[in-house]
Formats: sequence, C-alpha cells, structure tokens
Amino acid sequence: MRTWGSIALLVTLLAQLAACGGAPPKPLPAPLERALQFEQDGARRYARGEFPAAGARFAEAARLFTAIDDPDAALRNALHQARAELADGQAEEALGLLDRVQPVAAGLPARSSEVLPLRAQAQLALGQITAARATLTTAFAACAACPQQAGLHLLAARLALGESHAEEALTHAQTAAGLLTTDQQPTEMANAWRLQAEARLALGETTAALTAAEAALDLDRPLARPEKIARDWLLIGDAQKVGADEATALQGRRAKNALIKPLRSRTVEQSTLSSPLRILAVADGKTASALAAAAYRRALEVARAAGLDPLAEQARQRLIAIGISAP
Amino acid sequence: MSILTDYERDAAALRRSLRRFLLISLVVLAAIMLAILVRQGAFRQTTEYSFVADTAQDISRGQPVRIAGFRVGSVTALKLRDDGRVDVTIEIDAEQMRFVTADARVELRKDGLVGAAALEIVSGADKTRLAAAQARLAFTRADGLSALANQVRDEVMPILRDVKTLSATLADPEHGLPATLGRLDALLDTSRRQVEGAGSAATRTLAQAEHDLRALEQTLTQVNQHLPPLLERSQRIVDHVEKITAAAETSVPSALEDGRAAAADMREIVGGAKRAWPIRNFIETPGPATLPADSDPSPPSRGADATPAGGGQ
Repeated sequence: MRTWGSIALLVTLLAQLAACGGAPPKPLPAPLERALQFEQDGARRYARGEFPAAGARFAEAARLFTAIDDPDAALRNALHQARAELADGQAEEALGLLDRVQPVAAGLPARSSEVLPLRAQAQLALGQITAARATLTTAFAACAACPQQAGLHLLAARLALGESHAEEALTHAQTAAGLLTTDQQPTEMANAWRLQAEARLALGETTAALTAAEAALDLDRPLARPEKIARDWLLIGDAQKVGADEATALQGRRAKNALIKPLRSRTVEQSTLSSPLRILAVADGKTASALAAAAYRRALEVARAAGLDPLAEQARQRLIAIGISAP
Repeated sequence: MSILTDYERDAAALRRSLRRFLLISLVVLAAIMLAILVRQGAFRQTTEYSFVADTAQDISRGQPVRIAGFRVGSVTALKLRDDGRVDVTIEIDAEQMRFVTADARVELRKDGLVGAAALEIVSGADKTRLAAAQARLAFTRADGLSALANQVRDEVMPILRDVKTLSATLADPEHGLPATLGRLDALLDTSRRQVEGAGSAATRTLAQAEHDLRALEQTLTQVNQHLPPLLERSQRIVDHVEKITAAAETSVPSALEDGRAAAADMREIVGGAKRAWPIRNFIETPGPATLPADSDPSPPSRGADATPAGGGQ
C-alpha cells in the first residue's frame, strides 16, 4: 500500500515538474492577435467556399495590419482578398484591388511576384485577352523560378485554349504538371489535368483526354468542389461521345474491309454494310454513347445538387444532343 | 331889276356848285380807278416761272398760285408745245421769290376730293439755292379722285380675286365645303356611336362600382363588429408589454452587466487555460494564413463560360 502511495506521489511530482519546466507562450499584442484572427477566419471561410465573407475578413485584416504599420501583412491580406473576389466571380473588383496595391507590392519584391498571376487571372476572367497575354509575358520574365511558375503555365494554357491553340495549351499544361506535386497542390494539379484533357480533346486524342479528365476527377472529388467535379464529368462525357463516334466509324470500316476482301465486289464496296456487321458496329458505338450519357447525367446531378444552373443547363443540352431527353 | 340881279346871282352860284360837283366826281373816279389798278397788281413787281405739264386738265389762265397756302401769284399763260405737252407760265410777287428754291416743284392740288384746283409751289430740300427768274420748275399732279379710285381698285382687285378662288375651293365637291361637311358628318356619327358605347360602359362600371361599394359596406360592417373587441384585446396586450418593459428596465441592465462580467471572467479563464500546460500544446497560435493556389477558381457566375474545349460536340 505504501509502495502504491509512493508511486502516486512520484508521478504527481514529475507532472508538476514538467508543468513548471515549460514556459507559457508569450502572448501576442492584442491588435496583432486580432488581425491574425481575422486572417485565419478568412482562410477558414475561403476553404469552406464562403468567398464574400472571406473577402470581408481579409479586408478587415488588411486594415488592421495597416493600422499597426505592417505593410507586408496588409499586402498579403489584400492579395487574399483578391483571390476571394476572383473565386466569387468578382473579377472586376479584384482587378481594381490589384491596381491599388500595385505600388505597395513594387516595394516588396517577395510579394510582387504574387500580384502578376492574379492580375492575369482577373484579366482572363474579364475576357481581356491581349492584356492578359501581356501580363503573363511580364510575369514569366519576372518569375524565372518563383513558386507561382506552375500557376503561370496553367494561365497560359487557358489563354492558349481560348485562342484555339491546343498544342500550345497542352505544352503549358504538361509543364505545369511537371512543376506541381499532387500532395501539396492538389487543386492546381487537378486544373493541370483538366486543361490537358481539354487540349487533347481539341487535338482529337480522345483516349488520352479521357484519361486526363478522369485523373482530374480523382483529384477534385476529395477536394469537394462541385463545380469542378461537374466540369470533369462533362469532359468525360465529351471524350466518351467523341470516342463513340470514332468507334462506330472504325467498326464500320473494319466490317466493310472484312466483307470486301473475300468478295472483291465493287458493288458491295459501294453498298451499305450488311445487317449483322451493321448491328455489331452500332452496338459498339452505343456502348460508348451510353457511357457518355452516363457521364453527362452525373454532371447534371452534381450541378443541380450544387445549384450550378449554367453547368446543369450545359449537361442537359449535351444529353439532348445525343438523343436523350433530360428532365 | 332886282329880280334879274337875284337870278343872275343864283345862276352863278349853281354853276359854281356844278363845277365843284364835277370836280369831286372826277377825283373820286380817279381814286377808284387807281384802287382797282393797285388791287389788280398793276403796280406790283412780279417774276415769271414756267413748267411743263402733260395735259392742261385742271389748269387755267388766272388760276391762283400759292406758297404754303397763301396766294402769291397766278397762271398767266398756257401754250401747247410741238410735242403735245403744255407750257404753263406763272407769275408771282417778286418779294415771294425767296421761297422758290432751284429744286422747288409746282404741284397741282385740289381743295378736298372735288374742290377747285390750285397750284402750290413746294420748296425743295436745298434752301440755299433760289430759282432764277424765268426758271423752269418741276411739275407734279397730286392724286385726285380718279387716282384714288384707281388706287382703291388696285387694292381691292387682288382681294376680290382671292375671294373668288376661296369660294371656288369651298364649292369644290371633292375637297371643298361639301366634302368637309360630309366628313364632319361621318366623324360626328362615329363620335355619337363612341359616346353611346362609353355611356353603356360607364353604366356597367357604375353598376360594378355600386356592387363593390355594397360589398365594401358589408365588409366595413363586419370590421365594425370585430374591431372594438380586437382593439380592446390589443390594448390589454400593450398594457402587458408596458409592464414587462418597465420590469425589464430595472432587471435587464443588471443582468447584462452580470453577463458581461461573466463573459470577461470566462475569457480570462479560457485564456489562462489556453496558456496552461498541457492545453497550450494543443492550441495553435494565430499566424499568417496561406490560401491554396487555384489558377482556375471557376466561380459559379462563370459557369456559362466554363465550356471545356471539346464540349458541345
């Protein structure tokens, strides 16, 4: 009994010693702590997709940091605010904010490389293609090996796709993918895969496009971004549909060759295919077409559940285009 | 003898009286003759002027010549020239020459529309140069009755022509007064029908309004029945709320004060706990945030633009 009592006393003593050994953290000054709390709150809301609320928190944080004469932290929060506005579709406001912080950023080289990509992104969202290209050129020149280089390549890929330069878009997207790591930047990696899928689809590389779109979907699902998931499904559907058309055409050619070779008949060559072969070809095409329809339906379901009406309408139109009535 | 003497004396006296009478008569006659000559200007000094008229109408010898309405002379001669015009010579008192300028003109005027004609010398603008004796003056004929008649005719004729045109236009069966009256008649007929339609519509509207007013009256009657109890109940509720508010005025501030103090205590306790071992090891100190990079945030508003490159095939 005495032994157990001694052990308990010893444990208590050790615990008290450990508590005394660790010094309590030095409390932050109240204004700084308050500004940091706003920034953290903004980041949490940004991650939850509450972009307007996040933008307001970042703006307040920037104001508080300005009040305690911390221009770097104020600029950091202004850029956070611009990102939130871009995510909320307020590209014009974001561009205006970036214009205002440009002089401050010029004096802080560490932050200045973050401004140009955001600026190009806003210009791209506003359809200012020429301005976006000029900004990207400046950004590439200023950012030889900065962390934003992958993002710049992704923006360049989007720009090239918008101008129907699929080859250039694919090159940029692949370069970006090479600079990114899935663990650290899953969102950007998914963007890179999606851009590759779009570029390959434009180049007619259906199978590779399908693979890339599925890779983007695999990354976007854990990130829980409905809009991107719906777009991935639309891309998969597009790739399946093109594949279905190609499969039908290929099967038709094979069947025709199989029939012509033994018969050597010009009449047959000029005629339509015989019924069994036609059925085979149509069945193959229908399988791929059914897969496309399934992908479009998934896109429609995701978009409707998330309230993304424009995307839902796109999915519905594509279903109608392949002869399926959408609700 | 004495009788003869007396007769001789009377005869001599008669002869003297007769001679005296004849002498006085001659003197009076001479005076009258002299007055007539003076009156007729026999002893006046005069100056002659002349002018040329197209016609001698209203001009005659002895016709008075006036300056500013005063008679100063008369027409002394009228002579037809070889070119068919008339040379007229006038004579005026020499002392009136000062009013006759070189640019003066002789104007034939009439006293009123039908009065006697007279010649009037009208001085010119240049008063410094007087006309010389025997000078030829300009002549004008003032408008008489015929000229006035012609002027009236010239003025009236266009009006009469316009009246004629206007009456012809009014009489035009297609575009004139008859056609206008026809259209007016049709318009009045249409208006009458519309007024009749409006009248029936107004009657229907009034009937509907009467019906609505009756319904409103019923509604107001019902409201009148239900409103007083409702107001009474509302008044009771308001009284109750006032009591609660009065009670809250005293209790709520102290409760808030207590709550604020409790919140401050709680914050202090939580703050202390956060800094205490081992809890402090589990709480993250606020620091700069890093947002995940996303070059394509694809906001919902961009949904329509987010068509993939291969889309829509």
